[in-house]
Amino acid sequence: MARHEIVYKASVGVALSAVLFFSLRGFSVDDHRPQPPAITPQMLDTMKVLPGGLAALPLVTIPSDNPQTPAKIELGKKLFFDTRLSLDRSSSCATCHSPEKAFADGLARAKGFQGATLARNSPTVLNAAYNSAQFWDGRAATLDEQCKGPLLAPAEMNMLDEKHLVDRLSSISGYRHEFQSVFGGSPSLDSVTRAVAAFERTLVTPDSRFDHYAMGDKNSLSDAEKRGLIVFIGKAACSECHNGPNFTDNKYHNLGILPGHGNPDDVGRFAVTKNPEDRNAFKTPTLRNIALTAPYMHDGSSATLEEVVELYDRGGGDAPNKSKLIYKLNLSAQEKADLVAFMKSLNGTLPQMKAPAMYPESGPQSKGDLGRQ
Amino acid sequence: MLLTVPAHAGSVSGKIRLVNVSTPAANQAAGEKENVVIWLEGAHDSKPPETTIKISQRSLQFSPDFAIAVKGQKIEMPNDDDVVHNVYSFTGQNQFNLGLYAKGESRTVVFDQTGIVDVFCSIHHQMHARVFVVPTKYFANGMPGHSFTLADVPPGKYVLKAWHQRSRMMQKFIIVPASGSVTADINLESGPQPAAMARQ
Repeated sequence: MARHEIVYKASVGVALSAVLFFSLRGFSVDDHRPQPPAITPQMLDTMKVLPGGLAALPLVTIPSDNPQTPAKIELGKKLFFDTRLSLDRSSSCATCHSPEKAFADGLARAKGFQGATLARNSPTVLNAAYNSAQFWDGRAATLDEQCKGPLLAPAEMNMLDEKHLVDRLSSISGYRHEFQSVFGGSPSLDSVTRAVAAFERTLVTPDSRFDHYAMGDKNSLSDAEKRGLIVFIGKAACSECHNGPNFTDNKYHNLGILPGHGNPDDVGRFAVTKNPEDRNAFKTPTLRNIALTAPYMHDGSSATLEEVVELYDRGGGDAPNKSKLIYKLNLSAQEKADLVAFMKSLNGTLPQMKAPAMYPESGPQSKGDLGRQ
Repeated sequence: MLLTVPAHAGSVSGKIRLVNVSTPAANQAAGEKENVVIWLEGAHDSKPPETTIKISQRSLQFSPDFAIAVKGQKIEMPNDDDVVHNVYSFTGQNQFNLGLYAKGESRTVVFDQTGIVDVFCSIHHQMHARVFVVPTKYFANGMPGHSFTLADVPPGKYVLKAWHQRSRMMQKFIIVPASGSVTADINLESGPQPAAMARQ
C-alpha cells in the first residue's frame, strides 16, 4: 500500500487523518474500475477548511471615507424607505428591496418608473456590503456608488439630477436638520448615498445554520444538507463561482441563458467592459438567503431553486459564449434534492424592520414633479 | 554520501521509434504527446531522489496528468481548485485514498511498488492521471521520433526497458562500460498493453 502524509499548509497543528484505507485489491485499469470511494458527511465534517473559502460571514468592512455612526444609519434608513426619493413619489429603495421580501421584491423583473417592467431581477440588499461589485453587471464598486444609479436612472426613480433631489429633500425641514446634524451641511447626492450605504451596511444576515457549521458546530447541518454541501463543493462545482463567505466570486459568467425573459439586448458585463468575453455575462449573486429571494437568475427566468439546479444540471442554457465553467453535471435526483436542502441552510437571521415614520413636507415644492398630490 | 555521480560512469542513449511506422516524421506524428518510459533494471542505487513531484488538481483536471516517479519518491498532490476532490487509486499495492481537502492544503503520496498507478478523483470521474513508478533514477521520458539519454549510469550489466501505451514492452540486455556511451535504440512494436508492468 502506498504511503501518504497530510500537509496542512493553511494551519499549523496536529493534522487529523481523514484518510481511509480500502481493502479492494488488484490491478485496475480505466475500463474495469471498481466503485470509487464514496464521500460521506463524516468526511466533510473532518475538513479543516472548506474549499472556495466558504466560511461564516465576517464583520462588514467599513470604508474609511464613510464611517458608520448611529445617526447616519438612522438617516439612511429614513431615506431608504422614503418614496419621495422618486420623481413621482411612488417608490422608495424599499419598493424593490423590501424587508418583507428579504430585501428583494419577489418579482421576476423589477418594476421601474411608473410600473414599467425592467430588464433584470432585483438583487437582495442583504449582505451586499460584502460584495466588491454592485449591480448584475458590476458597474458600481461600492454601495455608495450603487445608490446613485436607481435614484437618477430615468427608468427607475428618475430624480432627473442632483439639484432636483437636493431641492426635494431640502423642502422637508426634518431632513434639512438631520443632514445638518449628520453631515454638517445641506443634503447632497453624495451625502444621501453615504447615508443609504451606511444603512445598507447594517443589512447583514449572520447566524445561518451553515455559519454555525463552518464555525465548528458539526451538528447544525442535517445529513441531507451535508450531502448537498458535498455536491455543492464537489460534483456540481458550484463553489467554483459561489465562493467566499458571501458565496460569490464577484465575477461575471455567461450561463448560456437565452434572452427572452428580460431585455433581449441586455449584454450584461459587456456594457461595462466592452470585452467580448463579457457578453451576456452577469455577476455571480450571493446564495445567502437564496430560498427567500425567488425568482432567480439575472432575468428572473428560474422560478424555484429546483429549476435553477435543473438549469445547471443540463449544462446551462443554449445561448452562445457560454462559460467553460458550465457543463453537464449528471446529478442524480437525490443529489439535486440534497443541493436544494443545502441552499436552504443559508438563511440567516434577517433584520426585522418596518418603514420608519416619515418627515412631513414643510417647504416649497420643487418644480416639475409628476404625480404631486 | 556526497557523491551522486560515480567516479566511473557511462551513458546510454539511442533513438526511439515505432517500427510499424516508416519515416521519422510519421513516427513523431504518431507518437506526439505519447510518453515512452525508458529505464534500467538491475541498478543498485535504491535511494529515491530528494525532489518532490507535484501533480495538482486544477480546473477539474490533474495537472500534469502523467508523471514518472522513482520508487519511494514523494509525490505532492495539492488541490488548486475551489472545489473539493477525493484523489484515490486502486492500483495493486500502490492503492491509496487521500480524502477531502481544500485549496491551500496538500497531501503527499509515496509509491513503494514499481509499475503504473492510475489515479482518479471519486467525485469528478473525468479526472485521470497516471504515475509510472520506476525502480531507480536511471530513467528517461521519451517520445516516438525523438532520442533519449540516460546519463551517469554506473558501469555494469542492465536490462534496458521501454514502455509505450500502444506497444509491446521492449527490453534488451546492455553493458555499460566504466566510461563512454552505449547506443541502444528503442524499437517499439505494436502489441498488447504491457499491463503486467504494474505488478512488478
